[in-house]
Amino acid sequence: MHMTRKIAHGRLLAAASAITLACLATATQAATLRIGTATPATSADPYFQNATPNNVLARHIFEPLVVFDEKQVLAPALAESWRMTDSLTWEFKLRPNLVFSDGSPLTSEDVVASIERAAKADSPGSVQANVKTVVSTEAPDPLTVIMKTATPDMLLPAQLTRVAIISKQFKSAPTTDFNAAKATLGAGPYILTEYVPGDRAVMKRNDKYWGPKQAWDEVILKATPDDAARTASLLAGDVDLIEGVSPTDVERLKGISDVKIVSAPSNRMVYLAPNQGVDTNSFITDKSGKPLEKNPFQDVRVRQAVSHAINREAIVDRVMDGFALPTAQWLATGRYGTAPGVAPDTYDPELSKKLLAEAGYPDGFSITAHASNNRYINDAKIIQAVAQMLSRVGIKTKAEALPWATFQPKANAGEFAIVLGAWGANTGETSVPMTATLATRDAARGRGASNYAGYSNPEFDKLLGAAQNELDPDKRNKALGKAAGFAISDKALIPLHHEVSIWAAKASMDYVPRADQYTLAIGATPSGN
Amino acid sequence: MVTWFSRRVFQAFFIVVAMSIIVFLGVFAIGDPVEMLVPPDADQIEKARAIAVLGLDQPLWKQYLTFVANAVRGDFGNSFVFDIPALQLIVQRLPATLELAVFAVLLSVVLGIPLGIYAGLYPDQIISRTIMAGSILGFSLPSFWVGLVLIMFFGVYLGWLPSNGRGDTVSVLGVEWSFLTWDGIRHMLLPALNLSLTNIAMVLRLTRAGVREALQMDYVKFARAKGLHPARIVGVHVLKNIMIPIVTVVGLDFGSTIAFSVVTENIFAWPGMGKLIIDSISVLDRPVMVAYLILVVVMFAMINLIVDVVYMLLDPRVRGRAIS
Repeated sequence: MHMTRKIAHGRLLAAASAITLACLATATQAATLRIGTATPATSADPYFQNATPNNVLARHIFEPLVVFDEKQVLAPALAESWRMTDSLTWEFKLRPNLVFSDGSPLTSEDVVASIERAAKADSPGSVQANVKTVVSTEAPDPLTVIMKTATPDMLLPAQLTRVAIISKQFKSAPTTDFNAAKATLGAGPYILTEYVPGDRAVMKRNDKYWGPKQAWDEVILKATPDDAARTASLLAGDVDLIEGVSPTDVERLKGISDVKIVSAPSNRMVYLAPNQGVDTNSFITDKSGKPLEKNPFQDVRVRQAVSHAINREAIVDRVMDGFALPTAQWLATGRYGTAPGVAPDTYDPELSKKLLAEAGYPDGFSITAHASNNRYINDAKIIQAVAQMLSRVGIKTKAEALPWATFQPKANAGEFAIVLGAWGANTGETSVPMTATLATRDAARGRGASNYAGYSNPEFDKLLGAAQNELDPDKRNKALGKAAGFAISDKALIPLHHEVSIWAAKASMDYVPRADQYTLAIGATPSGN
Repeated sequence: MVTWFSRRVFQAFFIVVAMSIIVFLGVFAIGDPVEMLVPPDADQIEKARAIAVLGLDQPLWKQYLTFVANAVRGDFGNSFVFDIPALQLIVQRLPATLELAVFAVLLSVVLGIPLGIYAGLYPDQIISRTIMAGSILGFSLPSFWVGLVLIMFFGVYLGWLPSNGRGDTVSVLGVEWSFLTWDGIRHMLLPALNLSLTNIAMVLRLTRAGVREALQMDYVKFARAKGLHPARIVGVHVLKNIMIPIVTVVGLDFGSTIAFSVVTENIFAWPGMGKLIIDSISVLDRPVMVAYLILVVVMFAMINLIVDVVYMLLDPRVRGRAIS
């Protein structure tokens, strides 16, 4: 192929300008933040599924009325203030002059449309559950939203942190429009430019964001499920920030100068749930293998013995590599709804043996302890450590770890003797975990849905019910604390520790870790800014 | 000919039906799909609603019949997780896996056959011995470990190649392909190498064994006596006669590479079908599992058919039998 001199000249010029432009481009480098996530979002529709990866994506492109800050305290977002005007009515006041990323105004009518769309979202696990107590939403003026609830709902603001505010023009848009980035008009810090389901989301900065100016021109959320591959991608420089760093990788990463480790205690409590709901269980036997006639876990002394047999510090130190905090209840003592003055049970195997003897089991008995193996950090290893510790005080324990899909239904049906569970107190208080895991099972009223322990105590139910009906925040705090204290002294569950979440980032940036384990670009800033 | 063909089609159909029944029963034997989708703090009312939405409150036989009625119209149901048609989800991921599988098979043929021929022709050379020892490593090292080592070596230490993901794509005929861009090829090299290592080793060893055997044959001696060029002897006479086992293995490998490249796709975060199926199994996304496995059965049946046809082209003895 031969070119005329003119064409050759033209091509040379084009090449030269391309090189110059490339040099200029690197000089004014667009700041891109690439985040390696552990699980991909299943949809860009913020109401489709109430799951952490979906909520993380939604928080980048949309803004709710209220948010949780990194310490899980409620903070204003689109709403600058809110209050309960009477026991069944909440009033939210929006910030003035709010706009969506395209400049169109964001008013209370958009909030009404959002709540109504959320209430109609019928996919499994959708955000509908977060707005289930709302019976009507009104917009008396452009900056005020009035929500009426069916029953007094103190938790509505916390629930609304999951409800992104969309534009009213997309009130009836199907999920596919959101996935195609057509209906994703939001007031969040970034704008969605591309979404590939199950793989990645690409976003660019929203310059009309109401909050502080973001440092990044572009943010890419890329899902890399394998822990080792995700760490490798950070080391290779393919991403700038990764979440869900395995504790075993931390030692290695600490030694590398251009990577920094950031960690924070999460609100996820890992606990043991001894099955108290059945009289006999095939996994609780005497030393020869014959099932016991009476379930020893129904005796509080046996449960106390189990708790004192466990060396929580050793688990934190050896199994979790230091990335956990021994705990006695759902949230750190002192947080809203916690029992005052409670500390984790001491490690006292002699006391355990004494308690077991008192309860009528001087030679102990045999059990199988079950856990998942692919859900929580080191779940299989924790249950093995627990099994060894229990065996030392006379409760001969075999450990079994199953995939979550197999474990969960059986555990919830009460088929196991003692299981490992975990709960992230997403509402920043204790009424939700206590209702789900300790209240007597009542399918019609939605109580005890995750009550693995089969715990049912009318006294506790009364205390919890009274706390939930309490509308004064201080009195409610004390009442919840009282209910929590009761459950703790009754050893309904045996709390072990709170997980500490670990992130790793390039040393050239700072990242603010969050208690709810969300990885958000707003928490990342280049160092020295 | 026609009876042989229609018999194969009927067999494939029967396997498809059996597969769909097994998956339906299997999903419920493993666990509860609803528990995987609802948030942990969902109460019983929320779970009951989710069960009704997914149609899981119907008796199992009714769910199966509904599935069959829709499947004959091409509708395999919506994914429980993504709520888009299962078939569409799989087809979206197909190009990525197809590219990787074709590249891996190409690598195994382009590298395996020449190396195998060399090792077969000159078995006592140092190079040949090294090739054979290397091939043992090729199929005994676990592929997830090799994948991570490749990432660490080429991605982290040398920094020559990207550590994961798929590169830039170009849309051709409405489908996104990444092998048409240089960035796409860079991203494809490591996963394709990882995927093809076992295949290269097997093709290599088969070729070597075939060459060693064929060189003893009378027709090779006659060809040499006749004075034919060595390249022609090896390239035409030897190669054609050893191809049958190689074609079988490459065909089967191609099928299983497409269907089950799970480990490689997971390590390299390659957005293909292998990753989709393992993710779907973990969360019990039944529509995707059923649709995927049915597609895999159909694909294997087709591949076996093509392999048989290729036999007939290669081996006149098979041709004669089929016709008679």
